[in-house]
Amino acid sequence: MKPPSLKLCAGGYLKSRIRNLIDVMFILEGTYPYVSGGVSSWVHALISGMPNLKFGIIYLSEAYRDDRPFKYQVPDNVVCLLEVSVFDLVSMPPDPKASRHGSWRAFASLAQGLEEGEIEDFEDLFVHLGFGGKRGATIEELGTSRISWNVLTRLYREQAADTSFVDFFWTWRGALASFLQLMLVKPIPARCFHTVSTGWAGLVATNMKRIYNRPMLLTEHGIYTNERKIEILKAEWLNTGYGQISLRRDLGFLRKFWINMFLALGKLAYQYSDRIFSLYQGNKDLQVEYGADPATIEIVPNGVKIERLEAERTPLAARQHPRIGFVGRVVPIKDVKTLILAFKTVAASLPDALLDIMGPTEEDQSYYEECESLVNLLGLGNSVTFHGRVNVVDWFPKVDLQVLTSISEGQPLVILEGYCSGLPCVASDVGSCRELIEGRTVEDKAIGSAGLVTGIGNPEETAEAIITILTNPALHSEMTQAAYARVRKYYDYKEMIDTYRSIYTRAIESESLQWRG
Amino acid sequence: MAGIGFRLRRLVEDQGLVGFLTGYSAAAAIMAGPWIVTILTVLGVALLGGDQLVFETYVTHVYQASLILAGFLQFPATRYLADLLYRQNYRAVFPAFTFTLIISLCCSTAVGLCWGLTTPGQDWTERVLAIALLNIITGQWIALIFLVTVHNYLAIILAFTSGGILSVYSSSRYFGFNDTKTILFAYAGGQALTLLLLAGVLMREYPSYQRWDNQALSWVLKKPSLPLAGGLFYIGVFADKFTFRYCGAISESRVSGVEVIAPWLYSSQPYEYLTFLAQLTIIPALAIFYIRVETGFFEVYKAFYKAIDERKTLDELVGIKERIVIELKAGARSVGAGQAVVTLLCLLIAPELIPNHLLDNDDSNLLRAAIVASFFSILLLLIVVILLYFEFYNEACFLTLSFTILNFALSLGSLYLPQVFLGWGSTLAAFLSLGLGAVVLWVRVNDLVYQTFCKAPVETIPQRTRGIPGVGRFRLQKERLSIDFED
Repeated sequence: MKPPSLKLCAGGYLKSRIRNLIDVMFILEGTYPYVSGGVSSWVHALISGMPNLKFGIIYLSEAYRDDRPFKYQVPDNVVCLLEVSVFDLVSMPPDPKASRHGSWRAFASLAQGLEEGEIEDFEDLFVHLGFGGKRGATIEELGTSRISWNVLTRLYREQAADTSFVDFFWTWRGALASFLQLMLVKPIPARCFHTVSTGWAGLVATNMKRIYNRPMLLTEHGIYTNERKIEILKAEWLNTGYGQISLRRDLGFLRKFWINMFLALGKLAYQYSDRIFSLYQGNKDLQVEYGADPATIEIVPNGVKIERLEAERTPLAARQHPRIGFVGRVVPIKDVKTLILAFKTVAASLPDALLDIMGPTEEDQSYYEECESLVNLLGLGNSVTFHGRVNVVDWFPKVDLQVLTSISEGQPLVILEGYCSGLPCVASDVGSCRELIEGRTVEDKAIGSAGLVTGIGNPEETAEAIITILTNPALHSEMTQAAYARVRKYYDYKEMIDTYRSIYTRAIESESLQWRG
Repeated sequence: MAGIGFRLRRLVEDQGLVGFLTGYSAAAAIMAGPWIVTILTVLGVALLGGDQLVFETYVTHVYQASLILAGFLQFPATRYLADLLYRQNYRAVFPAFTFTLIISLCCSTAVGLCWGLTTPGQDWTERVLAIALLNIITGQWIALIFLVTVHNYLAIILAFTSGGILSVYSSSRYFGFNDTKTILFAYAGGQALTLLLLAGVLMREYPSYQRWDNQALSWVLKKPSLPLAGGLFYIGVFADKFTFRYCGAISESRVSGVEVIAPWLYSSQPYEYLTFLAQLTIIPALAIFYIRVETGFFEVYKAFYKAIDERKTLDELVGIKERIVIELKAGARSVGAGQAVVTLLCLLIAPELIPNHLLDNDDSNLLRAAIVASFFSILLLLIVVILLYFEFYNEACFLTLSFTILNFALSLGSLYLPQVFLGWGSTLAAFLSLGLGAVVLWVRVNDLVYQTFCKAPVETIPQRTRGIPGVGRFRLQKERLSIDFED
């Protein structure tokens, strides 16, 4: 089905003839190519791995900055990078002759919907607030008009009458202005649109899909709606300026507002995505919980470059000092204290054992100091070493067991990287750790366990698992083999690239999809 | 700020007739003290000096021009000053004053030069003295804008009195000053003393090491309606005088006493003298307004913005807004009723108080018209001030512009009507503007919560229109990405 004629703000209509079409347009929020991290490395790997495809990037930032440096060497096949600030609002004239009333109505319905965690009629928003041709009011007018005031005060009285009005007003105005702004992102044509999160990026992707009627793909490493929810519940900036009593009373609403808004944006992206990709089953379950159709979700795990990390491993029996390695940032979410407590028990059984903690310590200096104090308090100063940032390629062959005691994880690449050198793992039961250690499918499980899974924040269980593996060289050897086999079969970087190449090929070659809205 | 107001209110309400009279006299002295002293000085100089007509004409022109010039700077400077005091940046007050003073002096010199260089016939010394006097008087108004925040009213009145005494003393014909030049020089000397004393008080109250603050007039550019509101109000107040003075042929036949001293230097003695007298009748309104504003109104006004700062609920804000409305109504009743009584009394007795040989029938009619016009125009000014309190700058500007246009138009119109209507055009203009002002104030204050929040603009940056229209900035564009458009 052809999309309806698009009347752009320049006063023209979009024709279907488009030159220099981009194959895949990534929509990224606060990641590649300006911020390093898991998602950015993954995007970089995909783009570098498919040099024959042309990529574009729409990068969503907090504010425009001309001097922001790239954190990656952007490959030659990235032909455009558009920066869009979510909060720096841009003035756009309305469509000539468009009626304001349609825009007011759509705006009122959007405001109501966001508060309730639903976007009922995106088509209406697209027509009256986006590039649909009947945008009769600007962001400035919508923000300051009498109609928006009436909507605002009605919603306030209905849902938040005992909340600080000034907080309500600015929250409401800021959120809606950002929404309206992202409906007007430059419509760069592409053969398919790939967003790596829901939220604002999901909204932009949905809008692009609506404009060009081309496939929209969604890959989530973490679950955006869930992450925002946790962030908002912990956010201290929502707590300022109040005493404890009013704090609880007032901020209940503001938190609910933001959570519902991201919930609504999440649902919208799930609803309009043609295919959704998740890293592991746990995330898939969450996506379904937040409104995704299970039939559209596929699991495509992360991959690692095995050759880079492959190494010969000295058998455990030949080691004089069994070494336990932890790779990660020394921060509360990694629960390094549980690991240290567990090591105290391990050291009682295996006095020669050593614990190497590898990873940056400066992110949470006070937590690091607490960990150091705990090590000294337990008398483990000679066996436990904080190495700071290291090159894991050098270190993985030197240790016999990797331990991860995090209280929250997605799909930790560090476990897979350890597997490349046959390093077994003891990990807490978070994210996809169990899948990585025990296997996801029946076939995968048949490979055997590449380690042991323990409870969260449970030093006794962790110690027991470590001792079990380190005192049993045969078991260790079996786990080493399972680790090698599992990473090669299911988590090879090449495999991941091939999977996405076929996904892109299908999307690029597909006819215009049936409009689902 | 509320301290003096509360003392005065207690005096007025709790201490009988003596307290009542003392309280309102003090408020009148605070609001109109410099004005009254100036009037007495001019009268003193005129009575004791030599060539009265030319001197008075100069003084009239200088005061009118200086009020208009200072009027354009008054509200932007007040707004900036309020920002400084809110941030407790007291050291920046004096530098802000010096900058505003320099700008105002540049403006008044420019205006003075325009007049001086285009006026043939007048002695050059007289012209220089007139321009100097214009600068000095404009400087006084600017100093007063800043000194209002000090509340050292005694020092202000003493400064004006000292300068006045010097002016009167040195211009007295008994000391050999007989011509316009020497009287102007003597008068300017006394007023310069006043300006120096005012600047001294300001320097003492707000010590600073900085020379000037070039941000002091930033509000002129930020909100052009702010300078316009002040300047237009004074143009509006003098519009009828200008009309009668400069409408040559028409005015000559209708308004008695117009005398051309030099180009752009006209004397229209009876009319301007009578309107000047009439304006003295508004002092009670100023006194009542001061007491009401300093106590009731200012308290609820502050409470409203404090409630926003303290993140109150909408119902609480609406509640305070209702209190503001109640307070304004009560204030309007007090000021309106109090001034109405005074105006009525003046209408009845003022023409009788002036000796018959100085005031004929036409003049009595003019005086009555001017008294009523003063009553309406002072209420209009108070409405403008209240609008500015709430930052309704455009509305204030609209009102003063309406007043100016109406006063010009109706004063001109009255020249075509029978003699009995002369002067009443200005009265009607003030009345209509007051009615308009009351409606604007009523609508805006009733809608205060919406206006306060939604007037905060949604700040946007301009779209970069190159290439595909829409939001976003290209950071990398290796190929021409184009969409074909057709009309």
